[in-house]
Order: sequence, then C-alpha cells, then structure tokens
Amino acid sequence: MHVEMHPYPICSVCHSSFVEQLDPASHDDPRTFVHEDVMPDDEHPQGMPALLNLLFSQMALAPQDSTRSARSPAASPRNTTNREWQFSVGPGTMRISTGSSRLGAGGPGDLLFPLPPSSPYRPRSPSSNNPRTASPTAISDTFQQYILALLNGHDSQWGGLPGRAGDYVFTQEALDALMTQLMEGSQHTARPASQETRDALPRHVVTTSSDLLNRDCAVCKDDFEVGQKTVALPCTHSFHDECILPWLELNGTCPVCRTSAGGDTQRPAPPPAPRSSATNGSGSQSPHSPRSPRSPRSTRQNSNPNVPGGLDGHFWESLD
Amino acid sequence: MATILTKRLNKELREMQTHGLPTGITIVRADDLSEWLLSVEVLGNTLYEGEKFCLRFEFPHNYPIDSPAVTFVADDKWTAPVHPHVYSNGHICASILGPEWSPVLSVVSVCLTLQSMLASCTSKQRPPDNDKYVSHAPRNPKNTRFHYDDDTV
Repeated sequence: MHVEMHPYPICSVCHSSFVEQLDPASHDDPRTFVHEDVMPDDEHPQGMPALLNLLFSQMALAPQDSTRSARSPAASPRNTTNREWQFSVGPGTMRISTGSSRLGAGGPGDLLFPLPPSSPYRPRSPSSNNPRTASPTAISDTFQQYILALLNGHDSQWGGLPGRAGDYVFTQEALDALMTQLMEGSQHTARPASQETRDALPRHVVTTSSDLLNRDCAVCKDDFEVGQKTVALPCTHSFHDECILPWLELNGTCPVCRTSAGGDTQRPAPPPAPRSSATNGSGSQSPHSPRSPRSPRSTRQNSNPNVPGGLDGHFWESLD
Repeated sequence: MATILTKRLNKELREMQTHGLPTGITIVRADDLSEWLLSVEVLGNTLYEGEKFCLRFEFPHNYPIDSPAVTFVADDKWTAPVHPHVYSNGHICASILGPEWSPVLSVVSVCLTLQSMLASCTSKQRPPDNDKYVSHAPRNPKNTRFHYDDDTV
C-alpha cells in the first residue's frame, strides 16, 4: 500500500482520506511529531530498544522463519510473508507493514506514518496470511535503514533528509508506483501536439484576398493583417503562428473548438482541412463553440487523482 | 511571449474601457499587467443579492497561453462568496481555470462564468472540505489539483 502524504494521507487504493479523529487539545497530532525534537541526545525513548529488537529479529528470520520465534516475547509469527505492527498513538493507531502490499498498489516496506519518538509502542502480532512476493532481505534493509535514520537523525527530522515523510519513497516498488501515478495523472491534463504534428500543420500568409482579413486571431484577439503568417488547424480555425504554436506545445487542441490538432493526441481527428492553396483554409469556419461556462466539470478519465500538482507537491483531493 | 501578454491585456483593457463591461462587473484596479481586480455582483433574484465580491487575476508571463490565477479576494475589505465551489480563502474550484482553460477565454469571460456560477447557486454553503483545504492550501490555486465532479452548478 502506498500513501501520499500531501497535505493529508490519501490511500492510493481507494483514493479516500484516512479517517482519524484528532483531539487538538491532546498535543499528539502525528503531523507535529516530525517537527519536534523530543529525543534527548544519546538516549532512546523508553521502549525503543525493545521495539527495535522485535522488528529486527523478525526481519532476520524472514523468510525461512516458521519455527523459531522472535526474541521478543510479544510476537511469534507463524507467517513471515507479511508483517504488520500497530502502534497506539494517543487516541489513534498507526500501522507499519512489510511484505507485499495486499492490493499491489505500493511497494513493500512502505511506512504509513512516521514514528513519533515518544509514543508508547505496542507491537502487535502479524495478522496477515497473504503470500509473499517480494524479497524479504530488501525489505529488512530498507526498513532498518529507515528506523536507524530516524533514531540517528537527531539534528534533522529524517536522518539528514529535509522535508516530510511523504516527500520520500523508500523502495523501488514504491517509486515505480509513484511514477505510474504521475504518468496516469498526466492523461487528465493536456496532451501537447508533437513537433511533427505542429510542423505538419498548413501555414499560410495573409493576402489581400484572404478570408481572414476581417477576422481576428482568437488567441491574441488582434485582427489578421496582410503579410502575417498563420497556421490552420484541421478544424479550419486559423491563428497567428506565433499565437497558436506555443499553445500547441502545451495542449494539442484547437483553442476555439477543442478539436485535436491531429497526430498524437487522443481525440478523434476530424477530416483533414481541404488542401486549398489559394485561400487560407478557413472559408467555412465552423461555428464557435467556446467552453460552456458551467463549472466545475467532471473528469472521467481521471482514474488516479493522487498526483502532486505543482512544484511544491501540493495537491488536493476534493471530497465532495 | 511577453509581447503576447502585453498586447492581449492591453487589448482586453481597451475593450473593457471602450465597450463597457457586462452588468454587475466593474474594474477595481487594472493599472499594471500583472494583477487586476474586478468586482462582481450577482444581480437579480439570487442568493447573493446585495453582495459584492472582488476577483483577483494574476497573469503568468505567457498569458493567455497559460491561465491566469483567479481567486476571490478575502481580506478585511472583501469576503469570498459562500458557495460550494469557493473556499473561504478565495480559491475557486472551476474547470475553466484549470485543465479546461483556453486562450480564447478572457478576463471578462472568466468573470461572466463565475458570475453565472454564483447566480445558479441553490444552496449557500462552503465546500465540505473547506477547513481542511484552507489550512493546507498553496498560495497559488493553480498548484491545487481540484476534482471537477459537479456538473450541475
């Protein structure tokens, strides 16, 4: 299971938020833990050594473990393929799981939440019996590194890494899942027209007999004038070349009617514009149909919305 | 790029000044080419009768290829309308400001769209996730990936 942390954890499988009631008066909001250095130097919080013993010994047993019990008295796993630890943190609980994710959405060893250094740790017996597919060694290493980074990183929040837990993935699988998310998310946004598509569009120069003379370019809103270079899209809408080409680099559709500019975009391309050399290709402009003012609009193809938007990684999952 | 921005905004401003603005929309401030303020009133028998709001347009350097960042001003003087698609910090969940933007759209057409969004509102309430969103919202709403899941308003 992979969880995006900005600005709230969102489950990548069901795309919904985690429901957790936090009491603002109790000072145990997990989001504040990473900002506080409550751990005195050279001293682990109470219970931490026991926790580490438990975790590392269980990992060391994988995958052949089915007879030896962990050194910790708290758990004696019969099945090492998936491990799950649950910690009570004030009124809520959090879980750390290793092993193949149940639904295959994320990588093994994903940490669902940063460990608050001062919380009471309460190991729980492994509960899952799903078959394991991932390498236990890699999991153990990653997990150990993560825990050690947490413990050693007194002077920074994440063992030397700045930022928040959600800024990082710790396994190749989780990285792959994130890349997949990003790739899928881009379908929802505009698809640019390729260089070939742009180059293939018919170019014209406005002449004194051109139909365009009493029209304006819908992008810059200026009239077409004799001598100006224009580009005609397959839908026969024409624009100044300097106006339409930057747009097509971002979005391969007609700004007026949203018909595909052809080539690599997904929308069905209309019949190609008539190859008329004398006119500028827009003798029969289709009626303008600008986007209706309704808003917001549904996005059918947005199957994977948990993609950070913008450079600072913010995104928002609307809940309505 | 910059020349398109300058040309286009000057043209839009000239149009507004010579041909006038649609009813209920006035220019509050448009003295440079980076940020404009326009006030919007919803006239007639609507839930927002008697209220006046202010829209802030911030133009990217490659406007109109890129969409302007449009928010309702929410400060001491102005408040954002209470509407299911308007957060209390002024951010607006409207597809034409995001993936449905087209350079054919303009400041006036965005104002008209938002005016009609308010006019058709049947229930004055904030988005259900308002508090959560506002507490973590980026300054620029274009860094928010909204979901446009309501066709009716």
